[in-house]
Amino acid sequence: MTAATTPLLCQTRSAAGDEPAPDPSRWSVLMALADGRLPTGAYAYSGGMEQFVAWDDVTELGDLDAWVAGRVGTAAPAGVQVAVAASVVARSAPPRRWAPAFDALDRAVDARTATAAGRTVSRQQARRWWRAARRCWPEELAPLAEPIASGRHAWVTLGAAAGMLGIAPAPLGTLVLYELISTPLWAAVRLLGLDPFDVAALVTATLSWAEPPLAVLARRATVDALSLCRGSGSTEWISWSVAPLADLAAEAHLEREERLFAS
Amino acid sequence: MHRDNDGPFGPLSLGGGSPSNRAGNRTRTDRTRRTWRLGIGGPVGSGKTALVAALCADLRSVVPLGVVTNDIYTTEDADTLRRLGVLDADRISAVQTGCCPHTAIRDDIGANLDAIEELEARIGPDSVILVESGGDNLTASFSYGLVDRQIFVLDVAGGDKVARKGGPGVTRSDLLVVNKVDLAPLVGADVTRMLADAQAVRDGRPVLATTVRSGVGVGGVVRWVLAEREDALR
Repeated sequence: MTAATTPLLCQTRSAAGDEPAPDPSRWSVLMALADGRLPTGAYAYSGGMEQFVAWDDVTELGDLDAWVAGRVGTAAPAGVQVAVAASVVARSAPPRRWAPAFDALDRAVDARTATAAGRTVSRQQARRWWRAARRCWPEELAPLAEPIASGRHAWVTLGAAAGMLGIAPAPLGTLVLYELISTPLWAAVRLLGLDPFDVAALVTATLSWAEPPLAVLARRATVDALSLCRGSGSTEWISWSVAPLADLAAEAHLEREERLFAS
Repeated sequence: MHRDNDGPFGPLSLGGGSPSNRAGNRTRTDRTRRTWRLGIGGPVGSGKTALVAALCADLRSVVPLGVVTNDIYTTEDADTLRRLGVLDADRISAVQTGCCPHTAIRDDIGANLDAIEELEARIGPDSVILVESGGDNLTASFSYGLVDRQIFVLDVAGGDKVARKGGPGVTRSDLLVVNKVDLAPLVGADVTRMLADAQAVRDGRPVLATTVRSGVGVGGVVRWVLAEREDALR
């Protein structure tokens, strides 16, 4: 790879030389985006957990290990790849290529989200992230306003914003992973009355085993996404691992009369 | 339409001053927005939904109206409003609050903003959106990023000491409504004292006593709403 073809990777490098690293000043951006207090509506989502609890598939702390492993194995790879691809596009592609590239990524998410309910929730979350981000970083994100504000999927929106804000692929992958697992696990605390320290420990344990392989995937996605920057629109390289039951849960949840959470 | 009289507690309005003085001279951050938003909060069962229904009945012929409800567990309040027929069903929207009704109206207002923006697009500019909170405790209050003004509703059946306990809803809401004053003799509550306690901690902001169910005092709330809206849009 050369600097000319992979500008995202070349922006800042660690002392080792090969390892892409975020601009050090951007750690604060990453922390702000990951903070559950950033008003993005995260508290109102359960990532499907409310429905799995309603089905009695998750009834206690011991059920969560397997559940969250399933989440990491299915939703995380594609989520990380889509977000990183959107970040590469936002940082490296000429603006005229943004809308078609984001369209292609949106279609990739549509194709991997089996139900309308799941697609709706994703776009709703995107809208809330974008509302918060554009208020926090109005100048840096201004160029993205038109191609993003039209209602993208969550990982496309988060990835594009993160790219403009200078977050490197691996930390972005960790952010996606953290969002994917922390939302349902913290919802489980409220739904099942679990000990929050147990759940915090599960969140950190999951991050520790899932982060390294997803970081590799994230770095690889920066190369895979270059075709989008050139306008080819190919997204076939994005993982097809999906969880049909999670999509059915989203649909069933939307039909419920009594629900605490928006997903 | 409600019966509008002042009931046994006289004019029922304590505190006053111009609308802008009462509201602490808060100005809207977005001066281009024409939609005016009113938050209605208060403990469970205090009469928030009844007040929203009464306001809808009186205001719907005056301004374009929409309602967003924030039930804790169901869409009960939205369903009640639809059943009462106070507004067309497509002007009532319910949001889920993930066990945290106070978060939805104060710390993280995104879900409510989404619902409001969708209603605004449907209803058009120059509308009034009523945002009803889920029943919560005395610490709940609305963010002024979400609403332009807020009403906090107490009821005498919750005990006349509630106003004395204070909390942001009691002390800082733009209007405090003390509801169900007709029940005072039945529950041993001293309404006069409750109103005085409230006034003592509200720095001149108004307090109204109502029995919304029978329309007592609702006219005063409607007049306050219209005056505040007019002042905000001036």
